[in-house]
Amino acid sequence: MLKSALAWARAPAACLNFNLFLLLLPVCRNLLSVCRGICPCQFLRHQLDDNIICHQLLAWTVTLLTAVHIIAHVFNLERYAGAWSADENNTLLGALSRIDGNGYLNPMRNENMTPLLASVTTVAGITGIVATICLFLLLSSSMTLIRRSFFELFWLTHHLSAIFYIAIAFHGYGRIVRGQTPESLKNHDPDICSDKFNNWGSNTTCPLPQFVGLPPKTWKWILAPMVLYALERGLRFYRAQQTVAITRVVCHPSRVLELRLRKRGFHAGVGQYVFLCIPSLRSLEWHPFTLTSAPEDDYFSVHVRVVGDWTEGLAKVCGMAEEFEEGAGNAEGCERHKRKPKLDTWQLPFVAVDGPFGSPADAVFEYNTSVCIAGGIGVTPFASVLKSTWNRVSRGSPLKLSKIYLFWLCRDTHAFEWFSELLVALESQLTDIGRPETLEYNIFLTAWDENQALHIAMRHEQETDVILGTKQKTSFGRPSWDREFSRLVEKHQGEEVGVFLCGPPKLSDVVKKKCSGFSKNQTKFVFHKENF
Amino acid sequence: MSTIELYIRLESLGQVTCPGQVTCLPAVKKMGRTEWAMWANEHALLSGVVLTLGGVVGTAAQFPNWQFAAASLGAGLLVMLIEYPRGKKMNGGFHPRRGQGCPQACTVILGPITRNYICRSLLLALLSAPGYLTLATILGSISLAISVLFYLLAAIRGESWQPGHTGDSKHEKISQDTEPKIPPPRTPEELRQGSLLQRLQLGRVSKLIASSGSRRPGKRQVPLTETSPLVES
Repeated sequence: MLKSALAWARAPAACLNFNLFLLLLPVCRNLLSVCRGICPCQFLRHQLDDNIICHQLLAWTVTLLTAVHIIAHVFNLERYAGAWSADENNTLLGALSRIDGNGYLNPMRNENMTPLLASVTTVAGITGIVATICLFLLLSSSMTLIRRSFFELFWLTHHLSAIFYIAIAFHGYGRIVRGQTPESLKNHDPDICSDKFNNWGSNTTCPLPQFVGLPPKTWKWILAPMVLYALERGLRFYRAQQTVAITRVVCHPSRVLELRLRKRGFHAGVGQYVFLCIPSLRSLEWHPFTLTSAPEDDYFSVHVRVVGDWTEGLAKVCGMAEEFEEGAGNAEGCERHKRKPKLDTWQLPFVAVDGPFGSPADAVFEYNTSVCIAGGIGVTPFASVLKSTWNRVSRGSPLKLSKIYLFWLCRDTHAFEWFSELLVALESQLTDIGRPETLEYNIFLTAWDENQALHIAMRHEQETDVILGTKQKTSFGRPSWDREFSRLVEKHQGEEVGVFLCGPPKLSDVVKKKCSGFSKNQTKFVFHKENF
Repeated sequence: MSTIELYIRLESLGQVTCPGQVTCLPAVKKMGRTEWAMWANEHALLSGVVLTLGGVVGTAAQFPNWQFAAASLGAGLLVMLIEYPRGKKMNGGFHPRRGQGCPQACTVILGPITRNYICRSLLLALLSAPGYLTLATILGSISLAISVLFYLLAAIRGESWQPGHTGDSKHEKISQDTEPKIPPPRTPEELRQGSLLQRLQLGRVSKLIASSGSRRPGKRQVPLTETSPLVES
């Protein structure tokens, strides 16, 4: 009756079961953090770094399989309806369609049923339409523009995945796909009886065949990941109720706010991230921030750039509304803040913290030599790395890492003055303890204008850099990666060097190619990418 | 010298020209409220693809009422043509899709029909109509109806479609081999040995030194005479 369309529908359905099982796992952050902790080797941990990309690939696979499944079912429903047509009256298809009672085959029970009507009156049809519309909404809100520019829209719409999964779980409930029962097969052999459809039931060799709906199987596949994800969200809710104290709020130039927080039992590794929520501001919005404090600190800190509604609201509830007013000069804003009476601890807002969650930067200390490459705001995770390096070196803790390189590419250092100050401080502190060679950094400013160039030319003989005040001078333009990697190969022949990148995709592609290109003759560059 | 002091110093020397250049404290643009039109556009484009695909299936398989599927096929293609060019965001940001120049010209020609979101939503509602009548295209039509609602919401919030221009895009592709437009900072020695244009720059450096009253200790002050009306080609 359905010819090959049934197979075309059931095959993607089987694949969909497996893909939907896998789809929820990469976004269970706590599960991944646990796996990262128990993974015995770096290679396995490395596979967890691309969890978001994995989730996206699975989502696209689900979309493609859904498309094939739907097209096949369109054919199925049209063919079911076609079996009732006048042309099929005296044919096998007609005979099969007219089987009555519970043992029927054709889910369209009479000739008045149309495919459209069947799709909105059967459980499979309704759940299929609901699930597909949810999928379309999920897809359209997950496009890069929406995700980057209107994250809250993406995040809230993504909760439709709950409806999607519930609809899919019930999709096979109506048992619309039917097969001949084993008992009927013993009495009614299709090979013998298919030609004798006019005499079915009137002789004993070919009684009326009986069909039964096949039981749904999808729920068996998706139940476990749904439970896992529900536990994940429950854990997030539980953590959100725990008390977090804001111990200090620091105003930095260029509209950057530093929050120093403490939470009982909180312990983070280097470069990890947390999600923050300010319930008094927006109870459903959680925003990710990389931790900029070192694990050795007795607090954990995040640096927040005040650029949008949520961050402006955060500045306001922390008593910084005037300092970060649009148009206000940042240096004078910070000066005004110093003179203003500060908020008391009990006046600061309640902050919910979820995390910490592991990130690729965890592995920095697993190598003898690590290269950290940051593009613009991607330098934030490396603040934690550098601070932790300083802490361990200054305390004389056993440390496998002996050399760390930092390459920082940014248009200008606006919004990162706090990081520049950190570099200056680290540089002098490492020099004080006689370990200046531990850290080598190269900063590349990719935007300047003629006036700035002239001003820098005037000051080129100064000991410290004009822009940052560091001993290492800032370079202009983009680095020549061939030269940099050649230099690394020369200095670290035969070593395994960890390369950690947090930056735009183009930079990532270039560096990844260089890592594989320069990995030869025992020297190996292992590439790790942070996902924002 | 911190970055802030550097910029204030340049400002006092009268060298800062206008906002937007790197020497100025950049105007911080608010990441604004949700723009429903942006989501409506993405969703409508997706719906157009689904409608077209459904139309192809319905027409090719010659199901009953395949004529409506054929009409939906045409409607889906038209939806894709109208929705492919992305407009500017309300904050001026522009993220064009690849190759949207030609469809954008068609969309601009339609004028207020596409610019005004109420008209656009009525047009999309009309284009989705034939799709409700066949199974192959019903999903595309339902999806397009949802994007019609989003566009109506966008219209209520005062949004409208504004065509962008290539120069507006902040994300133009910059290849690894693109040379910078402005030469990097060069030392006075490099400027002296460089081209005529660079020697002109050295003249300006000297003027800056003289006007600011600062002297580099232990160095001869560069004479203020190196000017030329010639511009190096």
